[in-house]
Amino acid sequence: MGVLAAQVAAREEMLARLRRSLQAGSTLPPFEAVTAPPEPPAADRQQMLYEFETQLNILQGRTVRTPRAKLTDCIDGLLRERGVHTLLAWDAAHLPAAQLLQDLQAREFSIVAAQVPSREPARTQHLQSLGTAEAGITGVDGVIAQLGGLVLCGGAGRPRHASLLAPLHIALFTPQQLWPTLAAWLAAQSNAALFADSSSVTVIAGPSRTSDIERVLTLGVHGPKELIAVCIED
Amino acid sequence: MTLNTRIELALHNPHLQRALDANYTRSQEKRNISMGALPDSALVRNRARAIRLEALRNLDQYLVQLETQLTARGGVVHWAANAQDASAVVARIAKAACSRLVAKSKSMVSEEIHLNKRLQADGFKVVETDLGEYILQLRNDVPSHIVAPAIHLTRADVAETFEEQLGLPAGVTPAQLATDIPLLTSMARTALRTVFIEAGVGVSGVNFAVADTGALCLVSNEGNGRLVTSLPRVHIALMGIERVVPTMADLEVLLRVLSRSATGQNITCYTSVVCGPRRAQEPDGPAELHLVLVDNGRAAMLGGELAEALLCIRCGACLNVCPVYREIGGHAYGSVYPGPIGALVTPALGGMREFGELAQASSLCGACQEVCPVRIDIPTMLIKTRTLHLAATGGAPVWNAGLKIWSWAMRAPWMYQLGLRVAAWGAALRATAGPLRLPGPLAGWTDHREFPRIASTSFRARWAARQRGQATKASAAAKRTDRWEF
Repeated sequence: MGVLAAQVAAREEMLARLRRSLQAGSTLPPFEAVTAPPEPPAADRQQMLYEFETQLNILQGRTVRTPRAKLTDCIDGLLRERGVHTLLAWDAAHLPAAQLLQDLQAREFSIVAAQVPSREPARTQHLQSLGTAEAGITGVDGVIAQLGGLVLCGGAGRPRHASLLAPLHIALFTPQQLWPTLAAWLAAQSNAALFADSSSVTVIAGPSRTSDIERVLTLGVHGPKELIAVCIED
Repeated sequence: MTLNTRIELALHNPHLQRALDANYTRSQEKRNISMGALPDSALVRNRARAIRLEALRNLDQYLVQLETQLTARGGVVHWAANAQDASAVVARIAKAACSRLVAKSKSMVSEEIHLNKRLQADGFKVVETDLGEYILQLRNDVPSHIVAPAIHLTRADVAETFEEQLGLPAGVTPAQLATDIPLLTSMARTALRTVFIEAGVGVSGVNFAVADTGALCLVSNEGNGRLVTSLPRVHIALMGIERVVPTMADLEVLLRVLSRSATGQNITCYTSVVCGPRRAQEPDGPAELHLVLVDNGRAAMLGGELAEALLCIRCGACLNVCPVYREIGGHAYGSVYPGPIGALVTPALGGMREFGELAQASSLCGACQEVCPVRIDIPTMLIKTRTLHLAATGGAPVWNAGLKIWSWAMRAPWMYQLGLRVAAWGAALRATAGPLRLPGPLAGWTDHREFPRIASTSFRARWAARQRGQATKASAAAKRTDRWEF
């Protein structure tokens, strides 16, 4: 039997076994219809921003508020404080500040090309060069107040690695992107659109963490050690 | 090694005992605080249970829907009826990927099907990338907790292993390393980053798969789950067939209870929802995504008496709260899935004869059911498992003989009473000789327990005396009443 035929046979066999079990009258307790839990009452943006800051703070992340006019200086300051020279980033078109990357490049920060080749050995070589960057700058697709969480969707010009590989992740957002809960954000998306041109949706809540050794909290085990959410206020 | 021997070892390991005590206090506090802060938590848990029930009741349909959706988005779905098939599928995909290095994030199913052994036999180098699992792999050890696999080790143990396997970092003494957890963590980061970049294949588990989109959800705090599913050219996700939820909205409800129950967090640091390989315009992500649906006894379990255990979302809350687990830890169970839920899942999937005994490792206190985010009735099923185990093994000869004598005596009241009287005389004679030790094969029972003292007067005798006394009182009262009436 060829691999394909064996696969089809395995599929049929598993489904048949499942159906036999389900039809035989499973001992599963009766289905209890339970309505979806109610959503919390609407909050205004300032309240949501405050809640987001509080929650992210608990998770060892940090929020910085800056007027749009001072954004470049603000980011420049954050990067220089940490001795950053090389950046990973989403394309300018996907950031809530289209000029930022150009301005940073003018101030001699370099940005590593995002496109990862899918063939070897170019793939490994490119990943190695991405690994040298000290910070990643991304936008977000939603900011979840209740969780202190950031939702980042994949897609063209939105590399996953920009929020993952470098020790510092700076995520830019505007107050218009705030949502009270993840459920509210999700309810506003359509399934078809969510994964049409994107293979991933990630919720990030704080810097990478582990408690695997003696349950002692340690930051930055695999992902960024530091997460700064920058709120651009107009 | 028998269950009892493993329990003995665990109870006499002072370090494990300390680790388990600390784990209990911390995990319980955090879980209670975060669950308490969740708005409408009772309703959310009920809803979570209803979602899991709905998924299981129509599991065949949801799996087909999941397959259709994921395939439409470029993913490849494989069906594996048993552990051997599942490992073979992964090995075949890995071979086609032309890479000898496989990076793995935590997956209970991969442990269940002994994937590493199979891949290593085929010449692959498999590296666990979850920090706890990585430490265990370097030490040739096995996980002792679903969520915190290395809770039984100290920082000194880890330092010793890292020094031996990764080398001492420049300018650091062994004594310094043995106390510095951030340094140990950064050593692992450096070593594993190379693995992520060089591995051609990433293997992950799946926390939930969403039928209506074909999306696979993985939660992790460290970020290794994101790296494994994003950097290698090929991503293989392994999933037990029961881990499906119908919709994205359902996924969100389950995420509300999963991390709160597991680690006391409102949400894990990274919740990755991946759906198919990287799209043509995307700058990164895997070129191939394979989902392996593993049955390995689950379909049969769905038709059996332990079906409800398939609702489990693997949060580990029942382990943390179990008074038996808190004393004996995960290794004593000798199975991939420890704790109260493990005592159901392991015999159901691995064989009642071999593993049914695990259901004895419970006091049936019900704490597991109380904390379970999907309210699985674990205690009732533990009792069912004991019955099934007895049916499968026929029971221990001494136990069976004892029960036979008991049932014979119970059928003849005079014999039962005689037995009690003899026992009471015996007890009275021995009253000054200290605790009773049963002889022969029964000695095991009294090694750790005191044999209950036999009352000098049996309940029946006291009852009869009481009835006689009441009759006397009643007739006296009747006489008084007579007098009043008179």
